[in-house]
Amino acid sequence: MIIFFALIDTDSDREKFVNLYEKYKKKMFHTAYSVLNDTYSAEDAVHEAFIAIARNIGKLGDVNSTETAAYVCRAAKNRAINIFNSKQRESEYGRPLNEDEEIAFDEPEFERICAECEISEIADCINKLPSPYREVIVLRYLDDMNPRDISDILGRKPDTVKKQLLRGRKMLKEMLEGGRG
Amino acid sequence: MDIKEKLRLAALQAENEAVALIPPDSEINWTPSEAFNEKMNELIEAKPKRRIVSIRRFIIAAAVIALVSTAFIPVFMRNTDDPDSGKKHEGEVGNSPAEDDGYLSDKFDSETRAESDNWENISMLESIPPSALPEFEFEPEYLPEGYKLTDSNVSKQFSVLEYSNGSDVIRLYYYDGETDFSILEDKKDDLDRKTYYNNVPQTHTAEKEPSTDALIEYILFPDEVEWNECNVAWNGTDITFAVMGNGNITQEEIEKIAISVNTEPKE
Repeated sequence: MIIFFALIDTDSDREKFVNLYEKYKKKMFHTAYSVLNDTYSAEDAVHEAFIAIARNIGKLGDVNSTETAAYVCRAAKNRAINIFNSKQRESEYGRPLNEDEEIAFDEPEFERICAECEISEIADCINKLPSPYREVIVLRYLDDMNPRDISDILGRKPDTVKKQLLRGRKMLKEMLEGGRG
Repeated sequence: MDIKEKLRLAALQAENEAVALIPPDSEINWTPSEAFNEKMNELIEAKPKRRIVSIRRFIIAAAVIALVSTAFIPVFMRNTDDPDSGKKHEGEVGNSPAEDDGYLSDKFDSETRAESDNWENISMLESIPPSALPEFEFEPEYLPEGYKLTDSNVSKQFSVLEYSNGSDVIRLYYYDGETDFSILEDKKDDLDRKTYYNNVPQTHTAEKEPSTDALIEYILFPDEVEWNECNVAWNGTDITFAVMGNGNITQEEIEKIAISVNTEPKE
């Protein structure tokens, strides 16, 4: 059993944590449930997410900000995906890619297209990516994570994450090109 | 705006849009289970645990244990090996009558124990058998050739295992608590288990004050303990480990030992 000593050190952090809990627990549950489709597993994911949040409570900004809302929901989703993957390795959320598959990707071209697009266009395309690719792209660019950290968080192999990142960017590039074509 | 920042903002916008699609609480039909509420209450209401705030204190505690061992083992050997003659053994500590009369113990009581008391009142001297230590295996799977366990001091909260090849010494420290290394998590992540390195300068001084961005670089040893060059420390789950060596052992070997320490709970 995990002992939760010292995760929250001060009364102000504790108050902030309780506010977060009250404000976002249902949204986090909904997010986790949409991945796991099981109440108890979703509760586990929410609980694990709150442990991670407790560890970083000092770094979190305003409880009511959109960034915080996005962060806590993402935490719940990532935990849910990790639980899902641990139960079912061959899944939509962690489908192993063909290790030998070569993914041709033109990075400078991707950057050139991104430079020409509006932020909202790129955001729309990110939201249209299939879940596994969207998740790695968000963690890569929003949280500035490397593939190894992403693989830890999502419970996927680092090689899988690398290929999903590559393929996700390729899909993003194609969508952006298509949108402009 | 560079591409990386643009992609970050796009990802943030995408996330915000996704969160906006989550229905309001009133439409989410979920009553938390009793088990969930229990776990969350435990998380919210857990009292802060006293923790070591710097590795320096951690090392001072280790030095205290070393001093205790140095002070008591020879006395113990003298009393048991040669109880009648009172002859001193070669290399014994305690050559003066004052020491024979328990001077060392008194000295420890008055000076060293005071330091240990200040050190968060950890009951380091509450000895228990090694088999009772932990729910963690702790012993390393790898040791350089020729090293054997030469000493151990096991307590409920702080333990030391010492290995030697006859000339050089490696020590493994175990502390039942989390040292605040989190500040370094982003900096040195080349090894698994978030292992942190330090190449401690040859000359250790105690003047430098710890700073948040140099916690590990601030692994210091009291002047009387001549450890040098090699050490590694890292956090497990609610536990802290450190591996240190002196003599000819290399940093690479210390790292190899650190990686081989089984931090998983015992089955």
